[in-house]
Amino acid sequence: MKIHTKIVGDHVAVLKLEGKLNMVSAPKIRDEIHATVTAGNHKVAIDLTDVDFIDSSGLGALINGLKTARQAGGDLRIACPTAQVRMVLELTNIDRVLKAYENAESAFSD
Amino acid sequence: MQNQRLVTEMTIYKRALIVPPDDIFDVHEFLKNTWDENAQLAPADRYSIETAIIELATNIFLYSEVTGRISCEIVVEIHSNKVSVTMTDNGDLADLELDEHVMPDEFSESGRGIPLVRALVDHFSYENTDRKNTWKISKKIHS
Repeated sequence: MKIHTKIVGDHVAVLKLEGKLNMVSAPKIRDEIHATVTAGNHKVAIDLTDVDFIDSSGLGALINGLKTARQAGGDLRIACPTAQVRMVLELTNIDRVLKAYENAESAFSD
Repeated sequence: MQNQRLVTEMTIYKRALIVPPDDIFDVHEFLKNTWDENAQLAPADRYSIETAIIELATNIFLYSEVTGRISCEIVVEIHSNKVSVTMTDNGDLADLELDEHVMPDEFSESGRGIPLVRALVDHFSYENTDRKNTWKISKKIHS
């Protein structure tokens, strides 16, 4: 999985992921979110446009990142989930805590 | 009068894996090739079956990190009205009651694999016999 991290505002970072979020890539995502928050960017938007697959390992990494960001006073938001990702978010009820935004770069504009 | 017999059309795809060096991306690749040859399957059906298989494979492969090399075989049967999958492995026998696994709360970081498989398919069973784990799932399809 490729991860492109971009700082887009005051304490706001966008992590654009590319590939499959599974048992192999989940630890990398978790570590990158930790590093981003530790660097002071505690508002993390995850761009899922190019993620064509997620499983429960990937969900665990996102939830871990959500808790890390909130503990630092920020939040984690997701944007543009593809069809398979939306299906998994709904079946696991995670769509209740990770609502999908239309655009990662504006996910924290409210 | 011509003899008639009921013919059930079915296509079988198999993949044997040794983990390591094989890994979860080999399962994704096997499934991509299977879906490419079965364009009649609706995307929602493909997503459901692939997600369930990857969850089970992850469960099997994680044990290889503890017990060493594991052999695993995946058999996918494409019928006209359903997809059936049988996965076997020689890892440690799982002491598993599928019904006891419920979806954890939204903030849990683990424990969703088995409940997610149950939510994705119509039939899900597990048994361990002859020092072998056998996982079976099936899903009705809409194509």
